[in-house]
Amino acid sequence: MIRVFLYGDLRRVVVPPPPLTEDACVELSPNSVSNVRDVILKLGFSPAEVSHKFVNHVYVSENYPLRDEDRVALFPVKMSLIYKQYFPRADER
Amino acid sequence: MRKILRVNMSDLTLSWEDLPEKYRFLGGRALTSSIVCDEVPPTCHPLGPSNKLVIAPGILSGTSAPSSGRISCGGKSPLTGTIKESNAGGLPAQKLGRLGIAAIIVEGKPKDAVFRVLKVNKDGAELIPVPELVGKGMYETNRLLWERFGKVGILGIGPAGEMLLTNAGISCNDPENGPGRYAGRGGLGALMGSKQLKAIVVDDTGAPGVNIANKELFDIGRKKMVKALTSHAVTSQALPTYGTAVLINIMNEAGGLPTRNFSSGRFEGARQISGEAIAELTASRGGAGKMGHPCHPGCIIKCSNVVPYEDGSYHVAPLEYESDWALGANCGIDNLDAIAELNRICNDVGLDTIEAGCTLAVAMEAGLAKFGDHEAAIELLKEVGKGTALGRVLGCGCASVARTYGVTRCPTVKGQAMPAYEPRAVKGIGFTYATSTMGADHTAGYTIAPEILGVSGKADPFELNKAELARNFQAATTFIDSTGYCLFVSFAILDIPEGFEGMVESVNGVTGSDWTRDDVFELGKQWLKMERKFNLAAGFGPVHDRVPEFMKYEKLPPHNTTWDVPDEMLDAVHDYE
Repeated sequence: MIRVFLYGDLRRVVVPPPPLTEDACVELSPNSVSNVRDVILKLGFSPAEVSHKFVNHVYVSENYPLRDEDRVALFPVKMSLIYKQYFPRADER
Repeated sequence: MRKILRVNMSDLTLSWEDLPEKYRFLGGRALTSSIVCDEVPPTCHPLGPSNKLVIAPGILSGTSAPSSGRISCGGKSPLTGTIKESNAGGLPAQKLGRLGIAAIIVEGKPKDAVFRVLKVNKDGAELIPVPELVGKGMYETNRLLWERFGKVGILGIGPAGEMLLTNAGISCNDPENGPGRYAGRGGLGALMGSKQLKAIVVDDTGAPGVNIANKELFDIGRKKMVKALTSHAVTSQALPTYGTAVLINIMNEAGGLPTRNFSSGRFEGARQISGEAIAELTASRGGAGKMGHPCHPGCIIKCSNVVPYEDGSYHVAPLEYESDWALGANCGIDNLDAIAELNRICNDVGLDTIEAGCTLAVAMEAGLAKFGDHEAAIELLKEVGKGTALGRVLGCGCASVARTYGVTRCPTVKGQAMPAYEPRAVKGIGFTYATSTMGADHTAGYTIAPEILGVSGKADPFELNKAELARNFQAATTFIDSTGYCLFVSFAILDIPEGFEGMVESVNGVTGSDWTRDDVFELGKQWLKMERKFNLAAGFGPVHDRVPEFMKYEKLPPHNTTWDVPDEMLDAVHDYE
């Protein structure tokens, strides 16, 4: 399974919402998503509202391909409080 | 015309000077660094009579420009031995600006053992002996100063500054008279202590206000800035909602949150100390707790907060990302109340929280306490205020403890502790830490997209050579630190070009300059060159522009990377000289 950790407003898709001191995590079948963009769309988000995307702690683009057991983390635009320029962004693995 | 107030502590005389023509367009960092370079011998002892403490509000401080109440404190750093500018919010900058004071220069050294307060108002200035304040923490000091002088702006030092400890900062009071807005970095509190100046109180009652050369242009720029700051998601939503600690979870996901004295980039307790957790804690406890707290009137970003005790009463303000990380993750502590208490002690004793947190982490590495033992950390930090031998070692910072106990994992550059971004995981910030004129300092190069500066015409900022990126970030930051605008305006002007224009226009409106967007970069570069010239004369060359050696051979989990940037690339950051 692919685990997706959600932050800020994106936590809304986890029902019931956990306390902010706990993880908001959903699991997706690796057969249902092939890259990060698929995850964003499958969870009902607009790509424009998602800023920082990490896979296994690597800052990635929407096109980054996913594998079983991956850890994905998504942050909304309004939490994008660090300059993207500092991170090397991976498109491929 | 703006004035300089010169305070000679050797003969206890005060004099007023017109701001020289060569400083006419300067404020904040550009002015403090210019005066330090012109008047302070680079090889002087930082605590001796030849060093000077220079305090300058930003160009816009005291005007109605949004979030422009920043003040710069400068001198030769007692911590690093380099030139230093440390920047803070709070009340003093705006009040000094409205009094028409461009800078206060404190020089010399008293011949007696008396601590004094410098009182400044529209009628002049006065030095007042304050034996009753000696040894007092900043909470009590601020309370007593408001009782005596009314609701003044206060720059003050706690016991750490009085004891000349090299991690002592200069406190600026916030609108509630809390002491938590610090010009913390670089030990300038010890410099103020060496002048035996306990505090500067600034009363702007009846002040004439800031002279604005071109009101129409200023207003155009101001409105653009307001629009940018209120429309950008980060400055209008994230910062007031979660505070700067919103970064805890982001950096943890990036594997770049320094943990347990920079031994890992991941902290398992991150969510317990995150900005979201702080927001939840303040909401659930109510009372004095709040998010979206402005550190000075006119700040529309409001990134600050007030963290309450369990019963809702005031505990500490603010609890920011850097403090939360340094006293939390970096010490293995995941208890927000304990972190708030450590922060409160720093504010009271008069310590920089980044340096204090890194100091505690190195002390833990040395075996003085266990990582995660927050009770032991609190007891250790209390030693500083008591002035014990151990407390003095701790109060002199991270490198002091590392030397004393033989710890090689000492995360400092030029003797100053690194902030909350791991260079092995985030290489770009490592360039800034290594090559900043100030020692390891995240704020020295935290802003301005290459797109806005048009560097090399490259469209994708991710492909930029990091040396060029660091150079341009540092140059633009130097400019912003001179305006009085909070560095956080950069989030908005990064994405909104009209906001960037507004920054330049509002500055031109006040001073009558005709600077362009390109000048921001060129002026910043000039001022950096000036600071580097001082450092070179003080004995700092390229060999000091390095990250600590352990980062070159210790792999950082989870990425298991080392610092592998060639020294030549670091040297290229300032090759415009």
